[in-house]
Amino acid sequence: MSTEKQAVVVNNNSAVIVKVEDLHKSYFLGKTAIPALRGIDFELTRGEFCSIMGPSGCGKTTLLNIIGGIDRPDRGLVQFEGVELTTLSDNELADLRLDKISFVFQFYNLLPLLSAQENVEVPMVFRGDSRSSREQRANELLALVGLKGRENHLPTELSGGEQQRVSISRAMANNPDLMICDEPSGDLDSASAKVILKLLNDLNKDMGMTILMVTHDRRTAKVCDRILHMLDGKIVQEEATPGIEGSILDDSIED
Amino acid sequence: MVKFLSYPKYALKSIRAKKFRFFLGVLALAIAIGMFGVSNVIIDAISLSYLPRISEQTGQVDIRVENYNITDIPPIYDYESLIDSINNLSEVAGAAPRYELPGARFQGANKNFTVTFLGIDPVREKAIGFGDLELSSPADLGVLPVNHCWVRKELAQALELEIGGQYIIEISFTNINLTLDATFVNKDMLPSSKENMILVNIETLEPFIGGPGIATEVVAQFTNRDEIYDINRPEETIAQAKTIGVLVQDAIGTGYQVYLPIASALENRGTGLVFLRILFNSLAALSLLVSGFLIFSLMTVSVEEKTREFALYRTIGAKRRQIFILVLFEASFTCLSGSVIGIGFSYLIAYFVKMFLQSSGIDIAFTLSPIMVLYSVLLGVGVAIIASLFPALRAMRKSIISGLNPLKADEPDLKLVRDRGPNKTLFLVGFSISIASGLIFLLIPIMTVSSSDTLFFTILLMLFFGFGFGLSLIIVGVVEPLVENLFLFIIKPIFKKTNKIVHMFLKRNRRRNAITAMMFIVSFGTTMVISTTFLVQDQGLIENIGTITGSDITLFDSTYDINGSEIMDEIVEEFDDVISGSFSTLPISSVLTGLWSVAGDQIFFESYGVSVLGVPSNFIEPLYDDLIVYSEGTDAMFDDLQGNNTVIISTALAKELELGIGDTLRLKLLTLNPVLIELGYTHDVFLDIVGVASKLPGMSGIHEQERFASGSTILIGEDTWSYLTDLDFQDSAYRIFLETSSHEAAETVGIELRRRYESNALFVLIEKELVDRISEDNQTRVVLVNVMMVFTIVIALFGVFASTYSNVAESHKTIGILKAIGLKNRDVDGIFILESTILTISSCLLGGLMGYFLGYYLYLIDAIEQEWNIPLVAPPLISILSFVFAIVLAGLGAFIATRVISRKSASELIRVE
Repeated sequence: MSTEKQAVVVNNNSAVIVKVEDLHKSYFLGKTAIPALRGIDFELTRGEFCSIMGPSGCGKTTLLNIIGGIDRPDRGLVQFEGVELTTLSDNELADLRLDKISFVFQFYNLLPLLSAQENVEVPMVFRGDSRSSREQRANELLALVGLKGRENHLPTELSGGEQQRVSISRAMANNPDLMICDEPSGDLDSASAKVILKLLNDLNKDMGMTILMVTHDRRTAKVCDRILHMLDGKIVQEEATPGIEGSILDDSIED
Repeated sequence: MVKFLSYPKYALKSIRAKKFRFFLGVLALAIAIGMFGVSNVIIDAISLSYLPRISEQTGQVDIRVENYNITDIPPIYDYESLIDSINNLSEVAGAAPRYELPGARFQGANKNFTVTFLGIDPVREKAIGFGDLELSSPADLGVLPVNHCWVRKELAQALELEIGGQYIIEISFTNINLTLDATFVNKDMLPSSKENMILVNIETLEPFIGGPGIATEVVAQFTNRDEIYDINRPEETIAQAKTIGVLVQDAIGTGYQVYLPIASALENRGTGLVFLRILFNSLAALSLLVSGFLIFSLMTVSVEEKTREFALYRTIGAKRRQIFILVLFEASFTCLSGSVIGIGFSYLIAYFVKMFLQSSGIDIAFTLSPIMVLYSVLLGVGVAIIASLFPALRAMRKSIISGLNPLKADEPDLKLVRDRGPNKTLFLVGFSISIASGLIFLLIPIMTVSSSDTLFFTILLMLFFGFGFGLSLIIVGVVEPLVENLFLFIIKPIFKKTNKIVHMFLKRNRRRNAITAMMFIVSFGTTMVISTTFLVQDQGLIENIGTITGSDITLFDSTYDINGSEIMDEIVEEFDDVISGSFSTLPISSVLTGLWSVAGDQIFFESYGVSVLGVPSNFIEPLYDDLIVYSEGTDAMFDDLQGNNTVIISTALAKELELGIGDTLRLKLLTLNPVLIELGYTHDVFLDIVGVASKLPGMSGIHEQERFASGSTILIGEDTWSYLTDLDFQDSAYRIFLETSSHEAAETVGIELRRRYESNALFVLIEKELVDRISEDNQTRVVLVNVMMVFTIVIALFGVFASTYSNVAESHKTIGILKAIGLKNRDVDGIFILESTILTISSCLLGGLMGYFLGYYLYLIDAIEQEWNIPLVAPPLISILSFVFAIVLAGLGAFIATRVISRKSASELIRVE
């Protein structure tokens, strides 16, 4: 536990984007409470690429959901850019998600009846952007992720990796401050996974995007600057990963 | 074979899990079955009261023996032997003579009145018991001494007669003194058209009619009349009555004719009731169809939800057949419950209708027969099986692998759908059904000569509904998606954020939405077609009634024995509210029986049979100005007409003969009757045309189109009339037209005229009264049909609820994603409300429009045929209210259904698989 506390202290500076203190959350199966988070403390600095690792059911996704403002904790504090999320109303949280925080899901979660470009445009539609600016930005983002020429394809006409790239473009649409990725390569083959991780890494390194990612895979996690290990609803270990050696992006390692 | 869990137990378990869905299905079917039961109960009740109404018009006379050979005067000699022959038949309860003697003048306290006597045999009448005659006490039906009389209560009041008083009656230039024994109120003993007659003992009339044993008719009743008359089987009833009629005819031999007034009225009008029964049952069938759609929709969703469950059953050994039966059982449980509750509804509504009618003084016995209950249950289960067949087959055919892995499954909803555009399949199916049912327009002429009315109406309605159903399919497949897109385009500036998502939901739910749209289009389409048909036809009749009546009040001298113009002058002088009056004669061919008239060009190169009527110079004064249309000439033509050898012809005839003002028309009066020839009635004259009229109110023979040339009316003036007929023109007035200062005045004057003059010799027609009656009848019919249709719309609304409910249930994940992206709760509500509102508006609107134009179209054919004005009629208010009601409820239902989803957090929604 001393390692955890230390990590919080280390990251506690003015560039802190997310601050979590003593976070608790339980789910109920009938009348039985199943604790998912049992006192989480950590901070995330602006421009950081951080991953959370741990076995199934350890509370990784719950933690992401609470930080992303799509779920609420039972107890504890969650601050995003100094704003306490637990005090925000549903509408204020929705605005926060629209402007500051975005999600990339394991199963892409694209809207099946909208084309790639339309999917990317959805957050901009919600924000009220004009049609021309939406189209221009969507096309730029799709080109950025290497999907130029596939704008009008429906999700069912795209491969898994391509769908995830559309999903990342959608997450980038409103220039968020934080991108939350829940196992973004979990449903992909290794080649596609590599493309996605490279994309996320480039976004972080070239554009300074803060990314918080959940993964099962250690090689995927090693792409990040820091790995938080979770077990039974707690952060049990923090690990700094300075380079990409040994990661999925390390070309010296055979897939 | 694997022993499977109990089917009923499984169905109950499944129903418990989805109570709301079960509730919707049961309620929808209960309403449909309830409507089926109630409509039959009400029709039965109406049928039961129908015979008494016929009897009011015919008297309780089942058999009437008459002599229609007009040269035989008096018609029946020796009625005693005739009655003996009839009484020998066991099928006849008894017979009695009646003698009708018109043309007598009754000298009242201070008024004269033309009356008709009805001589009866009081003893026989009482013994047979034709209805009832409520006599003022202490008179008795069996006792009416010679030279005593009974007078209808209202008539006695109008003539200020007193019971016990002696009155002089002038018959055939001789006077008779009669003592008034009693006044009476007719309770079905006399036909309503004969209740103004003065009732005397037939022996009283003997000195005037040529002695004893003479009658104008012998009337009789069937022995088992209650068993014979069954309004629900008019064809059998008529057949049985005719069989007895033939027996009577055989018994009395030739020379006299047997008539069956009630059976004949049934033959003419009873079929209307058959039509009504078939129509109402069709409406009930329609609501069953709509509830069938709903059950289908619910079962499809249920099957989709259980894909994984069914796949699991199959992995542990369940057969495809067992899955099929599971689905059928679930639907049958819903429908059985709906049927049972529906029967309860029938009882309940029938009870309230009975209470309502009782409060209005109408006592009708309502019964819901066990056979109807059985039908209802069978119908309910039938609907269940048919509606759930397709979902059950779908569940049965699904592969285990796709069932266990829904994400990998080839779900039709996730197939490539570029846009919610026209659906070719629905179009083709709809087109085929419409074309096939469009045979209606070919079959109508053939079927009008069909012998069975029931078969005729059934096939007619089936084809009509089939045609409508096919049109509905075309609309659902082609037009409705386009209208949806149009709505989305219109609302785009207002709902910028959600427009795209609503569009996406409409695309995704296109199959379910098509079923919902179908329910609305069928319901609204049928409501509108029926109510618009009633409304437009009645409004058309009201707007064109003036072309039939001609003026505010019209009097008919039906016996043609009154000096019409004299009465007209009296009325115009006496009533301040009567502004003007004029008259027309009977056609020459009717005045001089055995004569016919042919009009043509000078050499009869072309000629047509016509009706020749005489009219005075002020003819058009009391007529409705706005309905008078001349194609040549002005009002002055009626002055010109009074000169000798002038004529006004119809535009139809003018067009066919290519004649106009200044031309000469040749009129030939022809006959084969030697007497008429000897009297010099066979004129061949040349008449100068002084006017050409396209429309003249009250003149049904004046038309514009050439096809009406034959049978057209031509008008002549006084001099020409006198020359051609040698009859007094004023004395020949048959129809009297009166113009009053206002509609209200017309009613007041008309009622007074009726009280004063109306007898079987003079008939008063009040235009306003006719219009009011049409409006009242129309209101009742439209309300009745619409109330039934509102129930159907309610079922369709359940469809929207079910659709939105299922949509919400299936959209957890999508909404979760959208919420994660930043969609607000109120926008979530907005998406579903908008989707259901757009669906409701577009389908109601299209259904309504389809019905409205179809209803109008049916009238158009009639109106064009009769050259009537086509009225502009707004859709019935109740339909517009139903439309608003449907939209509001659909939105509200969507809002309620959406609460479940909008209150959940994005993470909860995303977790749901």
